[in-house]
Amino acid sequence: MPDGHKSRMDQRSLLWIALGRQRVGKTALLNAAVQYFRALGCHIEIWNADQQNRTHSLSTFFADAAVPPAGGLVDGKMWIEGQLVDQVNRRYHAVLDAGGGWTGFSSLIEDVPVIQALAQQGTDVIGLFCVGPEQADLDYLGRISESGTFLPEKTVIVLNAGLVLSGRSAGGAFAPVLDNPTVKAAVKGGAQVVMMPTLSCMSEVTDRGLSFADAARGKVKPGQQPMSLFDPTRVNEWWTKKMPEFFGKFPPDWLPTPLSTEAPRAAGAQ
Amino acid sequence: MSDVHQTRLTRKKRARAFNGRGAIYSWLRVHHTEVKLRREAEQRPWSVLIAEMVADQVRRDDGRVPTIKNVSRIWERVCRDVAAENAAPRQGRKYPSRISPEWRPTIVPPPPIRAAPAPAGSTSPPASSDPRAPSRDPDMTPEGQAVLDKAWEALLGADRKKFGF
Repeated sequence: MPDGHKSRMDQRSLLWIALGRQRVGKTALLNAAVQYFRALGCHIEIWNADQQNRTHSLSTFFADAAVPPAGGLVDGKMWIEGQLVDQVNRRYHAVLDAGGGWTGFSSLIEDVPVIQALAQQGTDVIGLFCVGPEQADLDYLGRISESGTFLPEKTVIVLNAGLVLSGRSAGGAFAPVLDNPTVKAAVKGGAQVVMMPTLSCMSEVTDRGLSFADAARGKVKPGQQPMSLFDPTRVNEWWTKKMPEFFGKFPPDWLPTPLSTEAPRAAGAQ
Repeated sequence: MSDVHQTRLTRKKRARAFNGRGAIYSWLRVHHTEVKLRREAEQRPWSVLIAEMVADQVRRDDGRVPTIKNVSRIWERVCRDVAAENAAPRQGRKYPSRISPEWRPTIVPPPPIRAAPAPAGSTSPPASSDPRAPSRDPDMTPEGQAVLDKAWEALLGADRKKFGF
């Protein structure tokens, strides 16, 4: 561009989708990511399609999280499709918590090649496959890889260290995961593998519905029990040191940055 | 005297000059610890110790054999001098340093642990010696292998922080 500014198509919006079976840390990852990148000035929309997770869903932490209307699988699929269209039209970054198991999102990606369609419209899909040390955690990635329905070129396999049993080494726990043919195939196709650091008092934060910044300061909501003496220090170390290192291992263009061309949200839109 | 010569009570030591003191002083000073032991712990008479002194060719300045009176008087002085020396702060032999007091040794970090060189004809590095390390796939791309190696290193790094090994 003559004036040095990037065109709308040069500045690509990102859609981070957390995938994996139940209880592998998808919501925890997106929760941290939204807090982190919003604190850096990025506008990020939150789509909470995880209808099975109520207590620790993204809606607990973000009042502006959009949720699909009550309904069945098809309703969920249509809602996600509508959100994607809105993202293409208004250009912003978004995160989608698709939930575990067979979801509206699973139904959508069987129906249309979502990644390619969005890429043509200037949105890059970043697939975040959350796994723990159990081989069964890789089933979701394996099924999607084999079917060829949804394996973004920009994929991160997130090894959730918080799922390693206390006293067990991360190396011993995740070595079989790194050795898994599905993981190796994904890596061969360009996937990154990053270990998400553990926060031993994560439930103390999420059970209270606190932001990590508040928890690091020992700040709780009115009426809540104060955190234990050392937990704010633990959160502070995790939030200000370990998580920046974690996100720092992502390829830079896979991370949200403030977009200069975000169109205002239409009145009445979710 | 003959039995004394057969079993010495003091080890024969090289005589030393002590600021112009005589031979008796020097001998008692050099053998101070042993003489003290023999006199105080074992209650040996001076005569026995003088016999050893004579055997070591120690004589008075006039060439005569030391007497008990001579020896006991000099012994007192030796004990005073030794006590004073022990009580004084040890000067030691401290030579002026030519090195700046600010100098600190350069900490040389241990060399990075490197894998053994790959055998000729191979493009990928050999597998880690850690028995838990993931196996290497000969079909893996160099970029992919780098991703897996980095992930493995990160896991080991987390373990080192957690367990200290």
